[in-house]
Amino acid sequence: MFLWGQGKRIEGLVQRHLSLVVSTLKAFEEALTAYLNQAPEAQALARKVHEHESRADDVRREVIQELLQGALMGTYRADVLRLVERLDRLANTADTLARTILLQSIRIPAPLKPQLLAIADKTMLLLQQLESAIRMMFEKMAEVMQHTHRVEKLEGEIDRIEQEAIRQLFAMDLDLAQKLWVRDFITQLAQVSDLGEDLSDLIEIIVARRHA
Amino acid sequence: MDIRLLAGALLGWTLGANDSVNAFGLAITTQMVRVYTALGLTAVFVTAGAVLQGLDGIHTYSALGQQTAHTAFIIALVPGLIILLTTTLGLPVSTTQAVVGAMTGLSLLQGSTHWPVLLKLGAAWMLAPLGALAFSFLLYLTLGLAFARWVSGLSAYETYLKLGFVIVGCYSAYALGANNVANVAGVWVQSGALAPIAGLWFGGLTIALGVLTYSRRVMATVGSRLTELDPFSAFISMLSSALTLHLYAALGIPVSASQAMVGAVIGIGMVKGMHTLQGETVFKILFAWFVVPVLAALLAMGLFRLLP
Repeated sequence: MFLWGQGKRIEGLVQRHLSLVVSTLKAFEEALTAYLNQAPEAQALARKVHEHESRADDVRREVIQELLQGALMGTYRADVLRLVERLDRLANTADTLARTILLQSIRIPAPLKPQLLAIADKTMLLLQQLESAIRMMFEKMAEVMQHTHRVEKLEGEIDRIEQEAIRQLFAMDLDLAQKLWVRDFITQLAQVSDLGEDLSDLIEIIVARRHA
Repeated sequence: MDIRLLAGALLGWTLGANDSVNAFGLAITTQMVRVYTALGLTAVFVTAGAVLQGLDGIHTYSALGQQTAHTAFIIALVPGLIILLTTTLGLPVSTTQAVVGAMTGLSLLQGSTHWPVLLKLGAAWMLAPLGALAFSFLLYLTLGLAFARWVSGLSAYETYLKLGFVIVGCYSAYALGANNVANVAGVWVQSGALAPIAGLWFGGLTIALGVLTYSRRVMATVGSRLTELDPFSAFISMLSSALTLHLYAALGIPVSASQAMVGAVIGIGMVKGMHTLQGETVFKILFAWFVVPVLAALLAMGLFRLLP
């Protein structure tokens, strides 16, 4: 059936985009861990983030191309477009963070490293829940909410770690430029979870609009 | 061909332009069906409904009294003028009520009013929106459960709903043609200006012409009259309104498609515990129930006296 095939094709592309965004963030987590542990492969791993992000971008363009050629209609088309755009923001932020590691060789004070690793770790957990929420949206909409609620909870936890890390940072004996530099990095790292929460809100709206 | 048939064509055209919104209008405002697809399907199915199942309504109108080409002309012209006026004022007026009002006006002048038939029609006008309300209330609950149970993924939901919109939109157009063709063709068949089958084709095709040439503009205003409906609610509203129209078509009683749709939307609101309609719209409908037939009757009587 034509309509069915069209929907399935777009669904497949969105799932592929999702996988690539997840790979981008996984690559970033590995790069960050290596960087904080001063491992020599950190730079190579950071470059991998960009490769994954680039591939995710190609699939995003493919989705948009399909939509421009008339795939899907009305609110479904708009929903898919918003979903893909917001997913892409996650990958873009990971790419920007990886570039910061590559180009600026940011100096993270040692006492803050566990908190940054905790943020990265929880961000990956949040991403797993987002991945499940999106898969459920295409397979069993009734089960989406349990994953989006977990996303909200994890985002709250990351927020608290971020605030504590910034509080500790400004209590350290460092010059202001260094503090602002590190603070921006921490804020941007935590921003991935904010974007994840925005995406989770969108998924909830998409499902709620179709709830009879 | 009798030149006076042009008044009938005008009435068919206005009916197609205004009332066909009730077939695919909500599918278009919820962006589930493309405009030109909807217009094409409406034109085809409205004609099919008129030709295949429109005869019963014509028989009902025959019971209201005998017509001549002269009275048929007046009865066709008056609703056309009223719809033109009320559409400008934004009132959801029924062509059926205007036609019956005009017929009653003339029958009063001639002393041939058939009160039992009139009472039957009046009761049907009141009951049609209530029937649509009941249909939408029940269908929302039952189909809502079925959808939630068997259609669990987003792509499946969209695919089935879109398919449902197309099928129900066609059914709705068919029901509209079957139910409302008597408004256009009834008096011409009674007057002998058209044979029954020719009358049904005449009615169906002029309604289809209104659909194809002007209904798109009217559809643009439908969304603003109703508060925003989600696609599933819109689908249930269309289905309920179509079932009501078809039921009354089978009974041979033309009713208002717009008022059936309003009843269906109120039913959705009752299930969801919210107001899906502006109170002003309900007031306008109640106003139209009583004022339009009276106005049509007076206008028809006046024209009958004025025109030689």
